[in-house]
Amino acid sequence: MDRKFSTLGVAAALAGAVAMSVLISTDAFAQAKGNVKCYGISAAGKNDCANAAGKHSCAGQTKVAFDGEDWKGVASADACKQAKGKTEPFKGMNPDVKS
Amino acid sequence: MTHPPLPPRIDAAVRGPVPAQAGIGLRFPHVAEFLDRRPDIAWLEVHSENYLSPGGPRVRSLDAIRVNYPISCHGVGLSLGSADGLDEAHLVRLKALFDRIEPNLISEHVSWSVAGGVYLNDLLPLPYTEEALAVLCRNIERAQACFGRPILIENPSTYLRFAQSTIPEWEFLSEAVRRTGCKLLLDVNNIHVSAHNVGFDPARYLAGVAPADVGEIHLAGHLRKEIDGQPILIDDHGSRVAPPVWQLYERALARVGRVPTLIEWDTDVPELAVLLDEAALAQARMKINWPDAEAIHVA
Amino acid sequence: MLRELQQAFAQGVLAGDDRAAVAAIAADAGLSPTARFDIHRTNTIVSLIAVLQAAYPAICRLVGEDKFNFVARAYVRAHPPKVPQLASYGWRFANFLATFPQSRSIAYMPDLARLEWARNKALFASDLDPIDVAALQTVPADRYGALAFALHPSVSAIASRYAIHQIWDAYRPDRAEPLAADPEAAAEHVLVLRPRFAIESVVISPGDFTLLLALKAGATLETAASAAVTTEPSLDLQAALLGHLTRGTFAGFSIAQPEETQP
Repeated sequence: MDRKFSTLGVAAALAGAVAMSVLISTDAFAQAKGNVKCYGISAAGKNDCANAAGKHSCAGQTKVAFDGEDWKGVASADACKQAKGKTEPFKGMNPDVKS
Repeated sequence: MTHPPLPPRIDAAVRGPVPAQAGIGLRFPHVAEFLDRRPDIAWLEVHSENYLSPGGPRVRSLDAIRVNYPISCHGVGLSLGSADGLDEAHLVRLKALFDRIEPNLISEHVSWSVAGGVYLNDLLPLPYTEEALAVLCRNIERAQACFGRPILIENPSTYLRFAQSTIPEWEFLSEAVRRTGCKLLLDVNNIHVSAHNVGFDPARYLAGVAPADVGEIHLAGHLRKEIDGQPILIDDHGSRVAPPVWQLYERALARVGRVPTLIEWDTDVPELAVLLDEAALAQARMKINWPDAEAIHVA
Repeated sequence: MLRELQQAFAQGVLAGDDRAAVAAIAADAGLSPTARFDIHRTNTIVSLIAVLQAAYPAICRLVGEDKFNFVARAYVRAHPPKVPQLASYGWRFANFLATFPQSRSIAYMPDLARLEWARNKALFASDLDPIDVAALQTVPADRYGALAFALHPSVSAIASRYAIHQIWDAYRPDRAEPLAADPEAAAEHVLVLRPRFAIESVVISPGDFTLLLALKAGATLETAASAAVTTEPSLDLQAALLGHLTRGTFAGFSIAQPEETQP
């Protein structure tokens, strides 16, 4: 059975939220407004007209040397650094193993 | 109430043709400096495809920067050489950007990137044949009709030549200009790179280009690399302009006159000062060859 | 002829069968036609892998660049871009990770990819001002239940069985060193949005997630709230709404008209 939120309860919750947000919004919005600057501008895919083959070769044929190995995650920063990503998978993370 | 931001109010001082001065490509790591300090540079070029989203800091920062600088929109995804024709939806998106930004100049490449609805993120070469020329001209005309103004088309950097090609590249480009009324964006680095890679004489190339056809020049760095023991030049836009390219630029200026010149840098983008310095080097060569009084402006 | 040549190139770049493309290339002095063609293949594949690295930086950091590039290369070949706007390239990556042999056993990875994609999407969404709370104060409180809220265009909400926000936060690219993270620590619901310039992602409660889902579907606040407490009986509705009002989750509101009474 669905629980119902009473009309009164919803109104009170929103009224309370509105009242409180008016109190804190001056600060929060001033902070959030900021400046267009460079939030994430560089951090996403972009088009350009340079050729990337200068730094790489044979992209179509490269075989990475971990064929057959699972794409394991790493559980800690230390493990990541020591094992260069070759740590055990997270405990219980592999559903094939789990079931 | 909520509202989408208004288009930029563009001052009369930055309207009109792109000035016959040196400009640079606007790159994301430099955007904050352009917003904060308004660096002294005559004009900027942006890659159109990076500004087609409905919103976000990229387009908003371009809105803000555009108010203060003449802007060239340099397309990298229209695929003017596609046998399939142009992507009409992409034309519409570009038109919306141009309506908003009102660029002083619009350019694209003589190459192709789209086949069978798939976008290969590369500027792939065309065979220089009558068939390809007809395809290219049809697509340029479609683009110009959609944008309501002529565009500039850029000579590609090439790594190969097609066995079926029958027309020298400079004749192919010149004929496209003649048929469609577009102009040339002469990439001098690309001429140097292609001349080395596929074997032609850059001087012969320059001599084959009609001065009146050229509306802009591009300059960039390239990379010399050995593949299977053979030297090849890769157009990686990742370093300063090479000495032989500067020499070729001086010859180009002497032939075509003083036209807007752009420094491109895409790989390992250095600090802004390096790009401005490269632009100053281009500016100095322009002045030697063509004093300010003789500056040519592009319509 | 030109169409066939271009199809042969696309085939050679993506599917690896470059015979037709290479056959069209003149056998000039210097590099072989195969090596010349490979410059284009390399540029296409490598540049698109770089786009995926930019869209999924936490995953790349988590598994390491070599492994990331291995699956990214397979993705590029299986799902090359359809439009020349690389900011929108890579939206199928989560589903691809769920089926790709080397990654499919890592159950939390697709959800982590969904979180990263939501951030990417938020970056390029339409810019709208969040609602002005003062405008809500002009609505009579007895009509609050009938309000419908339009979510900000940048909003995504993700439900996961795993602690995906904790993992993302541990491996986010702006961190000097990754932190420890345990995907089994909790099931997390994550709200992603960009009300102005900065992208935000926060963990929300399961009931809050249901609330947003219902509001997104056009439900009134009263209906959405009822659905939310069904999911999470202890939901603090006022706190959830306060969070959305201060965060900028809502870009607009409207009031359902009261039913007219027959005379």
